[in-house]
Amino acid sequence: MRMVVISFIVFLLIIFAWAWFHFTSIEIVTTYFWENLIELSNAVDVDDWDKAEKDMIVYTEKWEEARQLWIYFLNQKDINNIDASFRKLEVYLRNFDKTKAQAELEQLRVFFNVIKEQECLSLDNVF
Amino acid sequence: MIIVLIRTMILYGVVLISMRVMGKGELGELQPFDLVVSLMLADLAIMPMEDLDAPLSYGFTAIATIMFLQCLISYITLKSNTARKVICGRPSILIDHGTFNTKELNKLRINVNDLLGQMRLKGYYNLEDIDFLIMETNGEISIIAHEDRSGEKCKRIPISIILDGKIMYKNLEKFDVKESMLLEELKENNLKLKEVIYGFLDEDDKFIFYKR
Repeated sequence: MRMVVISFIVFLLIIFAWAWFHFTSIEIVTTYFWENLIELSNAVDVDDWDKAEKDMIVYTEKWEEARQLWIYFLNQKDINNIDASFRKLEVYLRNFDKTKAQAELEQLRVFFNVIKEQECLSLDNVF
Repeated sequence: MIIVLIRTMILYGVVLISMRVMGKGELGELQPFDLVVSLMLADLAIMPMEDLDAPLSYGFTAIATIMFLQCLISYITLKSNTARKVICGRPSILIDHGTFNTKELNKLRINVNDLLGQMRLKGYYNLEDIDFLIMETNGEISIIAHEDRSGEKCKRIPISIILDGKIMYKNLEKFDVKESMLLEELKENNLKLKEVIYGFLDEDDKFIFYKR
């Protein structure tokens, strides 16, 4: 009986850990980037490179903060994809490359959306 | 992470059901749910070791889920006879005093050659030496023979009538044993039903009880 209780507690802890991670990090961070990267895209669109650079600094910090937690729960490939995309975007913004920056921004949004969809509890994901 | 947990639960169920469907012959000394665990655990432990991109939490989640299901199923089978029958199955009498139980043999997909081979492995070469040949729930063969009792044949295998403080009504009915007789016998032995962990009717129709 004791082992059943202990294993049940561990099982519950995993569910709580997932719920905590999902609702306090994944949902919030992915929604934040999905919505805010559009603003960065708009700034690039009107050649407002100063605003784009400032926004980029904020987003990079936000991502670094989320990354610290995500590495424990998500596949490293997904995190590497976002890391690489941020680096590329930085370079494109620094060189005022509008087309490539727009394309990279869109890809970055997709990466965040994929993580959100992958981690949500749905029949699609289970099967 | 939760997807890993749910997938593990589903796969555990699927592998357990397949082991039950495949039958006792595939088990090799383990109960079906024990075999499921040994089949799955090894692979689950290797998953995060091989795939360096997968976080350790994936492997931990899957292993903890298996651990929980294993403990839960062991506990359920310990407490419930019905669950035990569904999950572990029941022993099958394959030979009863020289008569082959062809229905059970077909059900278990065991041919007579295999059965005779198993008999030989247990040291019996002549069918006449055997009273009962039983395939246990873990796929092992057990033989009840009369050789130790100077040729006297075992009339019948012991009939379980109390398991874990619960009366096995199906067995009472099957072997025409009256419940009142059983309760009277318990009273004579100064025993309460709940105190008996195992009670059976031996081949001479004598009640034997074992206390907790």
